[in-house]
Amino acid sequence: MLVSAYTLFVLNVPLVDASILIDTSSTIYVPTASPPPGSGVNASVIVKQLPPDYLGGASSDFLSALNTQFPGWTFNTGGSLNGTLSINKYQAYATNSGGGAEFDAVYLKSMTDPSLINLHWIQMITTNVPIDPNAPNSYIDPFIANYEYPQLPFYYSPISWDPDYHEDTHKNYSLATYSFYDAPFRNYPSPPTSFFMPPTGVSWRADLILASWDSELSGGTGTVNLYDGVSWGFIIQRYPNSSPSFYSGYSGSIQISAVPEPSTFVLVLSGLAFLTVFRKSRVG
Amino acid sequence: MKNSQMPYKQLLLFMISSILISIVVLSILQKEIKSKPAPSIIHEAPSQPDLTGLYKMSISWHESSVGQQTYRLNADLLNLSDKPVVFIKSGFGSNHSIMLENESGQEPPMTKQGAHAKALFENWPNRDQSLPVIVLSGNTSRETINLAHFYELKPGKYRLKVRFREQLWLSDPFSSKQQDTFMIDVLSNELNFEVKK
Repeated sequence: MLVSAYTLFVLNVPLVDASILIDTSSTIYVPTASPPPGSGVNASVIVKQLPPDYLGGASSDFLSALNTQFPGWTFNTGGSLNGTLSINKYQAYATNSGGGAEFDAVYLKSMTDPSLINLHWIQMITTNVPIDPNAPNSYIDPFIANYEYPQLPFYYSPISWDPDYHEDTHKNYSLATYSFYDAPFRNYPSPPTSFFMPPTGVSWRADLILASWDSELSGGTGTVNLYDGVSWGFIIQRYPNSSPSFYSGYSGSIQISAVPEPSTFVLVLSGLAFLTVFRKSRVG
Repeated sequence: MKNSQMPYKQLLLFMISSILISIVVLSILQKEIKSKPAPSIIHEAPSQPDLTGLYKMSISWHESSVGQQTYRLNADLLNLSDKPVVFIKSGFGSNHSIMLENESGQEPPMTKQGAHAKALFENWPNRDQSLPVIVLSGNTSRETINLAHFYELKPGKYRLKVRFREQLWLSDPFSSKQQDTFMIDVLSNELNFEVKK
């Protein structure tokens, strides 16, 4: 497995007047992962390239997902920010049953950005395996926002009861930073039934952007300005099993040594005997 | 061509000798194989450790809910083992299952959020919003929900339990090694409560 700390550079993204800079200078990047040896699963997990794709703003699919899940809210597009998004970790991981990507980043706000208290992460997932079978293939993450009211379209919430999901846990006001962490997981799909078939797969892509909201609610809805961000994600490819799975779903590894069957020996020795007798009879 | 043809006598001799040799060899091999041990397992699968009493799930009403009919519920995972453990937190639904019954033993109707939570639990371990949580020895990880967001609670008496099912790690869950990992599946205590008119 390749683990490389990128001693790269600050990547200058599209030449526009203002945009987020993506910093990968200290990213722990693991592009691929495989199931542990002995799992009996022939698969690979591959994350998207580093640096992740820069997003100039919310796509039409993004807006559509927002409007579907948060009716009555107003989403304005067109702006971009000036800060720096440093990616700390971007790594594929794999277990016996599935895999995913770990993505850890922190945004350093610029002086010209909206105030940190008003900045929020919004993430849209596009996948062929939605977390909730009732969810569409593109949806705002979390699909249902942390079971709290009012429902807000943000990844971390300013009203969360759970400190782990409360935005204040991830904002550092003295450093003007806002961190983001996610580690999605999907089970391996069923393998192809034949070596002549293409691998089966899972695709999971996140469009992660920053947004501002003035914390004003009117009738349970508000107005949000959408800015720029990045797209990251992973794919899982499953190949035909190279060996039978003895312990399906079990985390241990098992290997059985091969003992040739008696019939093999008999066949070989019979052949030798035949050759000996045949040769003798010819000589005789 | 004539020289290569085998007389019947020699052919018969060959067949009999082949059969005899086969029988002798087969009997020797069978004897040898019987004395051999069964095919060996080279790497024995690790067994699930004895987790009895090490990880406990308990539920209680949040202090702001007592007597307030707001049904804000704490679900606590207590680590009574002597080692810190890590699990992947991903919203309440993916690893918690709420077990609620009314007086007639029926599950009340779920809200949209309750149905979503149930779908996540059934779809486990798939997850989107995730973060690893370390629970130190003797410590508790708490998640708080409002039960009324999961069920349409009509007046009546109810029995409530919560099931917690998750994979625990003794090390970084995202490292390539993942040596020390095991499953827990625990039921909480029971809470009995009444929704008044």
